[in-house]
Amino acid sequence: MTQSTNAADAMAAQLARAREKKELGYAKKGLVLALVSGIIWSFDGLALGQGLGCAPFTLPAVWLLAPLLAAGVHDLCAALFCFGWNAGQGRAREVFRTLVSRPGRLCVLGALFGAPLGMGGYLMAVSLAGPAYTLPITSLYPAIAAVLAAVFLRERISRRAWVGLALCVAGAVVIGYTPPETDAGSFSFYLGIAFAVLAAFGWAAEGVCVTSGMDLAEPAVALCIREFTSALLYGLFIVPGVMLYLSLGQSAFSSARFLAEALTSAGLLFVMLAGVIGCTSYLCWYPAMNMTGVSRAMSLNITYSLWGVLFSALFTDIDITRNLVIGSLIIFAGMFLVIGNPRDIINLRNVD
Amino acid sequence: MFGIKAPFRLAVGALLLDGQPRTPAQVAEALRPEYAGSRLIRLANVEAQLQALKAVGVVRVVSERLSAVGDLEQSYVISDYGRDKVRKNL
Repeated sequence: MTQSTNAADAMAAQLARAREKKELGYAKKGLVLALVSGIIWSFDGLALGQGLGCAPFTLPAVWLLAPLLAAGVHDLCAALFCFGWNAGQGRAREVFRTLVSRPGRLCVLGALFGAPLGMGGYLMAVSLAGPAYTLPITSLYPAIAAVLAAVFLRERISRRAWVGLALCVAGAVVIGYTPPETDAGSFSFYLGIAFAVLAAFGWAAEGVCVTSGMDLAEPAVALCIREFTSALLYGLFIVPGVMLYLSLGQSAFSSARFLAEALTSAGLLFVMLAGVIGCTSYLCWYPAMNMTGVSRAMSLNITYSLWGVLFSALFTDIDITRNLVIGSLIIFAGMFLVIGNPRDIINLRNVD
Repeated sequence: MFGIKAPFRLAVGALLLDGQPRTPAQVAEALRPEYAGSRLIRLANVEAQLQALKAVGVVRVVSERLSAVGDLEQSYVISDYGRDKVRKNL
C-alpha cells in the first residue's frame, strides 16, 4: 500500500514538473518575443528616418503627405512580406479564410483604429501641438491598452505588472522628451492635444482588437490582414485625400509631381526596407500579445524607445543625454517588473 | 460562409464543442479530412493551437499522462467561456 502510494506520488510530481515546464516554456517564449519585437522595431525607426530624410520627402509643403505616404508604402511592403511569410508556412489559404471570418473582421477593425486614428492622429498632433507634448501623450498607449484589455478581454494583470507598465511608459516619456517649441494655449494647440489622445487610443484599441481576433486566429495571419487593410486605407483614402487637399490649397504645389518623385527616390528604398523590418518586429509582437497578453507585450514593446536611442548612439552621432540615461534605467526597472514571474501569465484571462 | 472553411484555430475550438476530451493527435485526425494536404494539420501545429486556446481560457486540460518516452500528453476539453466564444464566432 505504501509502495503504491509512493509510486503514485512520484508520478504526480513528474506530471506536475512536465506540465510546469511546458507552460513556463510557452510563457517565457512570449516574453522573449515581446522584447525582441521592441529591439527590432527600433531599427524600423532608423530606416524610416533615413528614408524621410531624403528628397523629396523633406519638402516643407509635404510635412503631412510625406510621412503618410511613407506609412502607406511601409505597410504595403509589410503586407507583401507577411503574406510571403504565411505562404511559405503553408498558410496562404488561411489568410483568405480568416479574412472572411469574424476573428478576421476584428483584425480589420484593429487596422481601422491603428492606421487613420493612430498614425494619422499622431502626425496631426505633432504638427499642431509639437513633439514635446505629443510624444509623452502617445506613449500612454500601453497603459490605455492595459485598461481596455482588462475590461474587454478580462486580461489578468498583477499589481507588479501595472507598476512595471507605468515605469516603462514613464521611461519612454523621459527618453522622448524635448523642450516645447510652440506656445501652449491656442486652439490649434488644444486640437493637437486632442489628436495625440486620439492617437494613443487608436494604437491601444488596435492592440486589443487584434488580440481578441487572435484568440481564434493565427497571429501571423491576423497581422497579414491588418497590414493589407492599413495599406489599402492609406492607398485608397488617406494619401489621395491629403493629396487632393494640398492641391486645392496650394496652387504652386503639384501632388502628382511629388508622388512621381517620391516613388522613384532613393528614400523610398529605405521606407520599403523599414516595411520589411517593421513586419519582422510585428511577427514577434503579435504572437507575444497572444501568448503574454496585451499589457505585457506592449510594455516590453515600448522599450523600442530605449533601443532606438542606443542603436542611434552606436551607429550615428547623437549625444548620450541625461534624459537617455535616466529614461533607460526607468525602462529597465519597468521591464523586470513586467516580466516578473512567468507563472503569473500561464492563464491570461479572468474567465474561470 | 459560402462553404469557406473556418480559420484553423477556430476549427479546433469548434471540434471540441461536443464536450468530448481529445488529445492533439485525436484533434489532428478528426480535422484531417477537412484540411487534407495542409501543413496546418501537422501534430506540432495542432498542439500549438491547443496551447494557445488554453492560454486564453477557451479550452482547459482535463487529463494528462506521461508517455513511454516521458513526453507530457494532455487531453483538452472546451470551457464554458470557450463554448460561448466559439459559437459567437462561427
